[in-house]
Amino acid sequence: MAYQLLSPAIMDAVQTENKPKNGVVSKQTFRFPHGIMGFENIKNYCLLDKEEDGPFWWLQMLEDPELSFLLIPSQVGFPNYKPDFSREDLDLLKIENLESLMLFQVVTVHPDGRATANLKGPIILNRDNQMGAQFVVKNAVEYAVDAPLGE
Amino acid sequence: MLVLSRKTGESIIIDGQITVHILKSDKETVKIGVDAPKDIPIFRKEIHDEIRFSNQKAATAPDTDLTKLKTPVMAK
Repeated sequence: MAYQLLSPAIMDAVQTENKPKNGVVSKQTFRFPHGIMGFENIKNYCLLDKEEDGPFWWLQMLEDPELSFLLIPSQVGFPNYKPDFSREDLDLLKIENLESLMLFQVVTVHPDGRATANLKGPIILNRDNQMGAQFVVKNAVEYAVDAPLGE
Repeated sequence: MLVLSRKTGESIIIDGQITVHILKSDKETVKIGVDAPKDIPIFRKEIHDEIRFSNQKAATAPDTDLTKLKTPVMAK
C-alpha cells in the first residue's frame, strides 16, 4: 500500500460516529501494544463517548480507571490537519479498512480553562481489531504539542 | 552508561536483534541507521520527551467538568 498517499486518505476515511443520545454512554475497549508515551505499562483502554461532553471523547485507562485522556476527533478540532504516518507505524495496527480507523488529538485542559491539543502525536484506533496507538507523525516539526483548540 | 568508540561504517548490535550503524559523521552531526524488528518503536528523544510530558499533563479524571472549558469547539 502506498502510505504517502494513505496519510491524506486516512483523514478522509476516518469516521466520527454520531453522539449517543439520552445520557447513553458508548464504550469500546482498545489494546495499545506499546501503551501511550509516558504510560508505556498501560496497554488497555476504554473509549467513552458521552452525550454531555459535546464533541469530546474519553480514553480511560483500564489498569488505572482514575486516569483518562480527553480526546477530540481530528476532523472536528483540526479539519486541515495533514498528518504523515510512517509505514512501520501503520503496520502495527494491521489496517485492512481505512473506514475502520478513528483519529484523535489528545487534549490538555489547563487550570485556567484553556484547552490545547497535541498534533505531533495523534491517537489512531482501528475498530476492526480493537487496536490503538499513539504515533509520532513524520511531519511533527510542522505541528505543536499544545495547539490552542477552537482558534 | 556503556560508551563505545566506533568508526564510520562500523556498527553495534543490541540484544541480537537491533543493529545501530554509524553511517556518517562530521563535526556536529552523526548520521546513524537502525535495523530493528518492526514492532520496536524508535523515536528522536526530544520529540518523544515533548509528547510524553504533554501526555502526563493531559491525563486526568474521566469525570472532569468540561462545561468550564474556554473553547468554542464545545458549541458544536
